Amino acid sequence: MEETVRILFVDDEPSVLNIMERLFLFEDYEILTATSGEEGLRKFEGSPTIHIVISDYRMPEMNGVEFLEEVYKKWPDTVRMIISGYADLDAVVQAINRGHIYKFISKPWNNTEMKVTIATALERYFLRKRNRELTESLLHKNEELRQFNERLEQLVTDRTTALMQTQEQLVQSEKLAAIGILAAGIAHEIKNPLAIITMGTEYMKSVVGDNAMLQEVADRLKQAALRADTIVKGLLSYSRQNPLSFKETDITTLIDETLTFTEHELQRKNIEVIRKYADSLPRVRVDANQIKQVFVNLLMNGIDAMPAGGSFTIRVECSENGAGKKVVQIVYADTGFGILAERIGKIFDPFFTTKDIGNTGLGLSVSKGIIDKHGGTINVESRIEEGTSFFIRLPVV
Amino acid sequence: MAEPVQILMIDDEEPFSFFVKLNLETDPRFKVTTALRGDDGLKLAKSIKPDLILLDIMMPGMFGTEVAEKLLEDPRTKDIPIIFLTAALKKDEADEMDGRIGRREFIAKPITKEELVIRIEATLELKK
Ligand SMILES: Nc1ncnc2c1ncn2[C@@H]1O[C@H](COP(=O)(O)OP(=O)(O)OP(=O)(O)O)[C@@H](O)[C@H]1O
Ligand SMILES: [Mg+2]
Repeated sequence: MEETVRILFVDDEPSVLNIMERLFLFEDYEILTATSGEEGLRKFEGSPTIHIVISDYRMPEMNGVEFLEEVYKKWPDTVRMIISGYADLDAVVQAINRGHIYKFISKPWNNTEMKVTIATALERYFLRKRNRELTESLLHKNEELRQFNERLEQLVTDRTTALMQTQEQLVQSEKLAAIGILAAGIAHEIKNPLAIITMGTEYMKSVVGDNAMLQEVADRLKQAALRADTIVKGLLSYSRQNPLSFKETDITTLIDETLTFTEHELQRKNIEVIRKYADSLPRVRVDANQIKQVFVNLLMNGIDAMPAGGSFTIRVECSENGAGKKVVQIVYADTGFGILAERIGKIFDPFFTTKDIGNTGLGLSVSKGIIDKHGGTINVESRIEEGTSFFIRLPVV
Repeated sequence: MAEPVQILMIDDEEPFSFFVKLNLETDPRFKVTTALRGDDGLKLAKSIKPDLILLDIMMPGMFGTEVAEKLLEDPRTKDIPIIFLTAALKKDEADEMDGRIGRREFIAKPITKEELVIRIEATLELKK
């Protein structure tokens, strides 16, 4: 081994130290000496690796065991040996048992024995060192392996999530396709009877004359038929991939148009509409009919959520999307009963509804589909008993 | 009062035709004859020479569009205005049918009496 081997002798008798130095004069060791434990510790501090320390037991102030215990704390790799007479054997044996001292050399010692002991101790030192290095590299490898495993697991999780998402989308779009086929197939079958009911009730109305009760019955029948027709239309529009016709538009005009359309219903339900449109809004490219459908859906949902009245605040403002692109943000905030946390993740699913018959549960999924096709986003925030806000963001022209 | 407007309705939905007839005839301006099949409708068109034809598209046997073609081929019927009626499509999809129904009047079922009358009036006005 290239490394210079250093041995420290500690004895309060300088003559003993002299003997030691002479003993190893022709060996390839660097010999250090100290006359007290304190000095010994200083030597440790001021020198490169000390491989072996041999200390006398009986010394004033700090005895050999105390000194070697200090050494053990700070330089655990150094092989520690103690020289002692039989009188102090108890203390020394205890220290050996505690693992703080490697070997005890009895007084008086013989030179050859001392040399052999030191050679063995050195061997032990390097063996342990090598062993430790191996263990460390093993630990290191282990850690690498663990991290690799972790990355692998993360990767697997990521991929699985991605896979599940695509699968979900696939299921969703398959569901849509199935609805489409179904809707187109049954539309004709349903619309014909609806047409019959409508015409029949209208005739009833025209002949019952002043009988208010029968007039009312006829009216209600007719309304029911028209409502059923709206549902069929909803199903059809949901499934059809109508090509969009985009036109540059001022979004607030579309909002106002849908409000005129629902004005009556809003008034009847005691719902106040508050418009907060920012000045000089940029124009957006949209399919007006489809976007209006989204607004009507949101209005209808809000109306349903405020059976005892309330207010609808419609804000339109300029904003930025996550990618820092300019967008027009439209917020429909109602003061309705809100959406339960466990339901909020489902409201955009097709057929998810908490309402009774006459509602398909398609309103929001259709709306989301439309906003998606415009390259926009739609999000929701809701608090129970306080209200719900829908946020639509559309890219600016 | 002038002669009532003669309307021929060709639709395989018997109760629908029946109610349309009842409804329209509450108005003395209209007289409605009905046919449940395309070929019967064609014959009636030639014999009674109606002022207007209400024509269903999806019918067993002969499609409304075929009936329309035949009406166009015959000099006796080619000038009779036609309003197509169908349950299969929505109003805004009428344009997609262009070519097949030839840019003609189009009504999606279900329809209210009021709408129907407005459309009939408008079509006949245009013809005058
Ligand atoms: N503003 C809102 N306040 C409270 N709940 C809402 C609101 N908007 C939507 N929801 C909830 O989300 C569900 C799904 O809404 P969606 O518009 O898709 O269907 P729907 O309104 O039930 O039926 P449809 O729109 O076909 O008439 C509703 O049934 C309702 O529970
Ligand atoms: Mg809805």
